[in-house]
Amino acid sequence: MNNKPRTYKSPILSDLIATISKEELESTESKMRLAVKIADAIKAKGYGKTEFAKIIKKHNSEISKWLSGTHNFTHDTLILLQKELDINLVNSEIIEKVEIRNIHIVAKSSNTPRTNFNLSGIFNFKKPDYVNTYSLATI
Amino acid sequence: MNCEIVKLEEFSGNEASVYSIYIEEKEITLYDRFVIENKERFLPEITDINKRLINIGKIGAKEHFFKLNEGSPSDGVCALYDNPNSNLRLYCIRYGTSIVLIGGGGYKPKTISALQEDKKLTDENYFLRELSKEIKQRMSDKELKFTTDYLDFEGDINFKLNEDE
Repeated sequence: MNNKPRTYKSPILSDLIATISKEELESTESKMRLAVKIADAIKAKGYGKTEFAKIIKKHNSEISKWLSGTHNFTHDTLILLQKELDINLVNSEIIEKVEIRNIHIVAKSSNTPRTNFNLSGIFNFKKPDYVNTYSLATI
Repeated sequence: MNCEIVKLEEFSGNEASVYSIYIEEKEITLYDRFVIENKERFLPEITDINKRLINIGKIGAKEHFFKLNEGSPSDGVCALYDNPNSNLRLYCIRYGTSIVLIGGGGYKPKTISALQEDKKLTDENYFLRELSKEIKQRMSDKELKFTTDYLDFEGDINFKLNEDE
């Protein structure tokens, strides 16, 4: 009674799967996870599939296609779903860009004369092109 | 024909186990046979199905990934949704989100609407219906059960079923 099914490794499948790239797999995974996110949101809103189709004025078959995890969504559809389901499907936030224009490093030591500092050796730092000025000083 | 439920290593993952039926006389699973029968003509579709099955192991056998009610009422026989333009139909039995047992299938011409219009699809589909009925009976007789994590079968996994060819 306690026997579990054995694990089977198919030589036919192994050869075929070896031809699938990581990017292809990720693309399929992304579509399927997106479908899960939408399906979960529909459920969380308390809608059935048919009811949701009516609300957004689509055919039931179209919702099935969306949730199958095979669909390539258009931006417009994602915006529609995002609005109706109160979920974030399209990340349109602009990430604030931080610019570093000037770097000024000041070093202070209590037991080494400031003239003995080899600051360039301590701060082995190459100024990136996007930084305008870079200076080292001791106090 | 003597057959056995086997767990497919290539597809099974943390969220779902993917099984097929190993046919002892032919030393092949139903899914392997489906792949062999269709890979020459429909290789991109086969690749797409493989990609989906790998991800089902990772994500789970969510109900909406399958076209439900392809068998008798409540027997769990369904078909895997693949790309809308695909010419293939692959039949499965789904047990919640953790187990999917994939059988065979074949070319589904766009000109037919019911599987009964095609002998190959009918045979593959009715084979799974028969298997599902047998699994249900064994579960009811406590000869077969799910493991506590619902990711595996446990018990009598060998069957003797008829296959129309």
